[in-house]
Amino acid sequence: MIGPDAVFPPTVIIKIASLLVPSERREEWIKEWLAELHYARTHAGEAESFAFASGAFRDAIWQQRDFWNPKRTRRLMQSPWFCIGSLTAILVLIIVASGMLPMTRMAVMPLAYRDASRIQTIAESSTISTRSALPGRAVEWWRSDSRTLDGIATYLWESQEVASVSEDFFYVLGAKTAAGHRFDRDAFTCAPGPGECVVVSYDFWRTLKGLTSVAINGKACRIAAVTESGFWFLSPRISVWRMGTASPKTRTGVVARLAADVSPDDAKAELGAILQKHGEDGWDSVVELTGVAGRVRSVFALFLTCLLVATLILVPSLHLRMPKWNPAAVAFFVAKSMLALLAVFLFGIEFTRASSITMLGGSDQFFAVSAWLFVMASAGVLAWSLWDQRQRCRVCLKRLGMAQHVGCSGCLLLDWAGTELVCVEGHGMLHVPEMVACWQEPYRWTSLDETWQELFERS
Amino acid sequence: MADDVKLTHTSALILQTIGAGYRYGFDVMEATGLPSGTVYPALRRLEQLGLIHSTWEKESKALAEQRPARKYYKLTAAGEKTLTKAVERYPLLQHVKGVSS
Repeated sequence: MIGPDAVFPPTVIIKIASLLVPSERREEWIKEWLAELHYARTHAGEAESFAFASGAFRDAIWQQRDFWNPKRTRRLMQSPWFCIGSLTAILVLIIVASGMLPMTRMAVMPLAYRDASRIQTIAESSTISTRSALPGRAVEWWRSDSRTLDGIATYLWESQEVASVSEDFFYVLGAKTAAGHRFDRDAFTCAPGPGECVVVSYDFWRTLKGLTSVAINGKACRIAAVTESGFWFLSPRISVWRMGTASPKTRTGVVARLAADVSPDDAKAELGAILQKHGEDGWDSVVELTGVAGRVRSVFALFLTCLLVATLILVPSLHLRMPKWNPAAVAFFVAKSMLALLAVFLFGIEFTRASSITMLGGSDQFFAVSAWLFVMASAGVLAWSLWDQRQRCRVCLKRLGMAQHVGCSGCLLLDWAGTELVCVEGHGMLHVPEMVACWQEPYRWTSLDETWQELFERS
Repeated sequence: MADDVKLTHTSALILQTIGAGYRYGFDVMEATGLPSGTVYPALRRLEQLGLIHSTWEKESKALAEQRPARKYYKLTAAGEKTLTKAVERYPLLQHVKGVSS
């Protein structure tokens, strides 16, 4: 029988345990343990050497615990690497908690439609938002008169998970079933009422574990088809599609497939002309076509716009006399800001309604709220990044410490004159006045030369 | 600081073993019967408290004897004082066979 010592020789155990030892002590630690192992083998035999080596883990853990005293921990937290590491950890946490960024992947991956570039949503452009629904009668006119469209279908969100779509919806999109077949134009008739049936998403169908019907508003609906894995339309949260034809008077979302070699502008002109022909004029005849692929990815454009707005908000608060940054400081600032902004973006798209307003086809008020949140979060991140940078040593980029009030308490409007912070490595001192005059740099950095070094404990 | 140190029975036993002339980690293990996972962390702690002092033996000597160099431990003055107090606190220590100083 093979013992554990054959699988893990004692020297290997010691080497593995040494990974727990702080790098500064590791070399000497390994040397002592290997030397002692030599004597353990000589005096106690090979069999006992495994038990001896196993004790190295406890010693290694003790070394680790002893090494990380509060002072050393504080030093670590002041380093720029800790800042970058923490932001990276937050990013990893967001990635793991979201289940490997499903929303972001959906926005980036190609859509599961045939010739997805020809799929366009149509909306009135007479309102503030071009995402408004259209009257059902317009759809009927276009369906019968249009030569620039290969197909036109309607959709309406009933809830976050359920949408009502026209029966040719999946055909117009060129979607496939889970079995790999394309949806036909007249594949099934599932009008609401007795015997109503629905189409469900592949992921939702898997959770049903073989059920052939699903309850919608307390009513059992037969599952007529399952979409292929990865199919979604505007909102990844929609998992059930009910079949229903929009009445001429109700307003509905409209999606269409452009005929081959027809540009959106040509289609837009024709659709407007058809509306005018049927008596719609003025703003009611002006429609907007938006590519679904572009609309899905509009969340990226929204974030970049919000980031630009956030930057513009912050610029006036920056004083012209910024401290000179060395290349390492610039690289650190860029890396820190990029990581923090990426975390904001991914959190927004994965966990908030941000996605449901852009790519997910939510309502306009959510669009505004999410855009506002993006602006605020981006501004907050940039402001923090700048504040953090100013609180760091201009030489080693460690956070400054040992904050001391200077001046006399109460001399300046009941407050101190300012605060001084010192680099723990002794590179310099930062003076932060309590009141900032417009002609004065708010943060004054004083470099300390070599003669000061002996006052500071080098790490 | 060393005057105020109150050692556990195990630490006191290891300190007394070193005081008795067992100068290497493995020797202390053999003399006390304690496992390596107890002895070595205890040695670190005793050294941190200034009760023992470690030194590497000369490489040339170890090389001449065809073996790796070892780290050996010696009681410091503070360690001797603390050991005296520890023996008063744990009287049975002086009766432990083989490690009486």
